[in-house]
Amino acid sequence: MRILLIEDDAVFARAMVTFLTAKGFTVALAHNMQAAKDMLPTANWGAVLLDWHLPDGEGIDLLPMIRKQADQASIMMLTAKDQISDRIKGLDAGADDYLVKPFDPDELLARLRAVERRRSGAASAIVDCGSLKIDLGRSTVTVDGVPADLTGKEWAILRVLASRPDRLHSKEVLSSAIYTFDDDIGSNTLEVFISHIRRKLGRDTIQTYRGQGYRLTGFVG
Amino acid sequence: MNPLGSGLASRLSRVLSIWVGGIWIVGSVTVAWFVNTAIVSGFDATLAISAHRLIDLVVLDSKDGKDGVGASMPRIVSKSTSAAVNAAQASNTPDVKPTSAVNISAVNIPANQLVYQAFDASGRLTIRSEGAPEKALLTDLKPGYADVPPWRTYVIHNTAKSMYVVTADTLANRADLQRETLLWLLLPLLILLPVMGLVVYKLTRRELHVVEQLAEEIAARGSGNLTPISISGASSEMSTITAGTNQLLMRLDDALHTERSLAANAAHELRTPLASARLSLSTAQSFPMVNEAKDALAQLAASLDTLSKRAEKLLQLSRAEAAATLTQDDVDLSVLTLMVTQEFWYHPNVQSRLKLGLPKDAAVLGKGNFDTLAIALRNLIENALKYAPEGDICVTVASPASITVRDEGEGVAEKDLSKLRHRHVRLTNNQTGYGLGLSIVRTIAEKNNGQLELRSPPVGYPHGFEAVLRLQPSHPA
Repeated sequence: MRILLIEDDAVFARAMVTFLTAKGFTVALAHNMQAAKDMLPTANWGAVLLDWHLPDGEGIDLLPMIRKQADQASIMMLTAKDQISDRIKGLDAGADDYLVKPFDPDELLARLRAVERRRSGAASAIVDCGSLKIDLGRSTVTVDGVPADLTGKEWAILRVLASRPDRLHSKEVLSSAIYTFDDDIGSNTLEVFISHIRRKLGRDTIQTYRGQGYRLTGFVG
Repeated sequence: MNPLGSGLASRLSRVLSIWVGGIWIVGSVTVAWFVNTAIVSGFDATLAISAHRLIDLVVLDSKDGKDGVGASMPRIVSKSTSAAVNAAQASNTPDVKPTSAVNISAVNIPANQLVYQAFDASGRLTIRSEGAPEKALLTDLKPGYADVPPWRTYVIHNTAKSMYVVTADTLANRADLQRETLLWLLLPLLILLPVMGLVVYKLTRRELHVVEQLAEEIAARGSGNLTPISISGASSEMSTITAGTNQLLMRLDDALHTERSLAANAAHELRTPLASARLSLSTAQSFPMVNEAKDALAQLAASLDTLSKRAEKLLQLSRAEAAATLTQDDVDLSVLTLMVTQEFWYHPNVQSRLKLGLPKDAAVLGKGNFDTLAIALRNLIENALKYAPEGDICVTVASPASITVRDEGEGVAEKDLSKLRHRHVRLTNNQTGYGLGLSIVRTIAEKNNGQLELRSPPVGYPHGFEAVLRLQPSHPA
C-alpha cells in the first residue's frame, strides 16, 4: 500500500519511513502542506498520515483537499495533540483515525493493515465477534457457524459496523449506507433495520448509544 | 464575609468611637472642673464685692449714730434681735467674737440669696439682711472667706470704725449650680456618644466601601479568574493598591500561562522524539541479531515504554493542576465516556471486556472541563485494565453526574483505600504503575469541584474495585 506521510520533523519522518518501508509499505514524504498538495494528485494513496502542526499551516486544514484528491485514501492523524477535544476535532474534520505520539509501532502497523484489508476486500477479512463471524470478503455472516440470511440493506448496515468494529458509527453514516438520494428516509427506518438484524443475529449483536450511534459488540479480532 | 465586628469598618469605627468618646469625656470633665472653679470664684467675688459695698454703708450709718435700722441701708431688717455682744472684744481687733452664734441646723436658709450681717466694734449684730439668721453666722469674725456649712462667708473689717460685715451665701446653692452645670455638660454626652458612634460607623462604612469592594473583587479572583480588578471611585491609595494587585494578577496569569504552555510544548517536544525512538527501536528489533542484542533491545524498549508513560503521566498531572483555569463546560457524560472508551476499543480483547452502562433517556450533564475529565476517565479505565487482568470492566454513567468504573479484580484492602489517592503510592509491585493515576483523577475531580470515591469491594460484589467520579450536575438550558 502506498502511504503519504505529511510530517515536518525530519528525525521522526525518517524513522517512520524506515519502519514502514521495512514492513512492506511504500512511503512518500511531504515536509509541509505545499509539498503535500503537490504530491496528492501524483499517486493512488492508500493512506495519508498527517501531522497537525506543519511549518506552513495546520494539517487539519488539509483534510478537505485530501478527501477531494485522494478519496480512496484512509486519513490518519499522527500528532502530539493528545486532548480528547483535539481527537474529536480531527475526526469531525474528516480524519478516519487519530493516533497520538508516542504510539506503539505495532498499533500503527495493525491499523494500517486494517486499512489495507478494507481496501483490498481480502478474503481473509473476517471480523470475529465471538459467536458472530462476519466475512467482509465473501459478504457472509454466521451465528455459531450457522449462516444467517440478511437482506441487501441489512448487510449494508452490518458491513459499515464490521468495517470498524472499534468505532462508533453515527446514525447519519449508517443511513447513508442504505439509501440513495431518491429514497424517502423515515425517521425510524434505520432503527427498523437494526431491529431486523438483531432478530436474525442476536439481541446483543449491536449496541445502541442514545443520540450517538451504534457499534458491534463482542469484537475479539 | 467577615464575622460580625471583624470587618475593617467595624474595627475602625470601634477604635474611633472609643478614642473620640474618650477625648470628649476628658474634655467635658475638664470643662466641668473649669466651670466649677469659675462658679466658686464668681460667687466668692460676689460675696467680696457685696461686703465691700456694704461696709461703707454700715460705717455711714454708724456715723449717723443710729443703731438697728439704717435708713440708708437697703433691704435692712429693722429689728436687731437680741444678739449678745461680747464687750470684751477689742473694737479694732479683727478677730472679734460675736455675741451670739448661729444654730445652724435651725436656720431656714432661703435659696439663691445672698445675706449679710453687720457687727459693731463690740461684736454686736447691728444689721442683718432679710433671710440672714438672727444669730451671728460666724463665731470668729476673721476677715476673708470661710466655709461654715451651710454657708460660705466673707468677712470684711473696717479698721477705722472697727466694724464688720459678713456676707454669705449657701453652699447648697453653689452645689446645685455645679450639679446643674455638670448635668448639662454630661447629659448631651450620654445622648451624643452613641449617635457619634453610629455616625462614625456609617461614615467609615461609606468611606471604606471601596476597600470592601476591593476585598470582594480579590476574593472572586482565583486560578480560574485572573482578570484585572476595576474599582470605581477609588482614592489614590486604593488606586495604587488596585494597580499593584492587577500587576500581581497579570504576573500570575503569565506564570500560569507559561506553565500551561510548558505542558503543551513539552507534550509536543517530548512526544515526537519518543515516537521516533520507539519506531527506530522497533525497526532495529526486526533485523536478525544475536540473543544478547535482542535482550538489550528488549530492555531498551521497556525503558522507553516506561519513559513514555511516565512523561505522559506528568503531563496529565500538569493538566490536572491547571484544570480549574480551563473552560468549564456542561459535559454530556455519555459522550465523554464513549469518546474515551473508543480509544480502548481498538484492542479487541479490551473491547470485549469494556461494558458500558449509559442512560437511555435524558442526557446526564456534569460541570467540568471536557479534556481533563477525559484524562480522569482514561486513568480510571487504565487502572482497571492494569489491576484487573480478567473479567468485565463496567463503565456506568448515572444521574446526577457520576461516572463509575468497576472492575472484577482482587481489589484493595479497606485500610489502603485512602492511601491510593496520594501521589507515588503503589500498593503492589507486580504491576508497572507510577503511583500517579488515582492522584491525577483526584486532582481533576477537585479542580472540577467534584470528588472521587473509592470502594473495594463494590457494594453487592464479592471482590473488585470501584471508582466513582462525582461532578457538579448541570441541567440543559
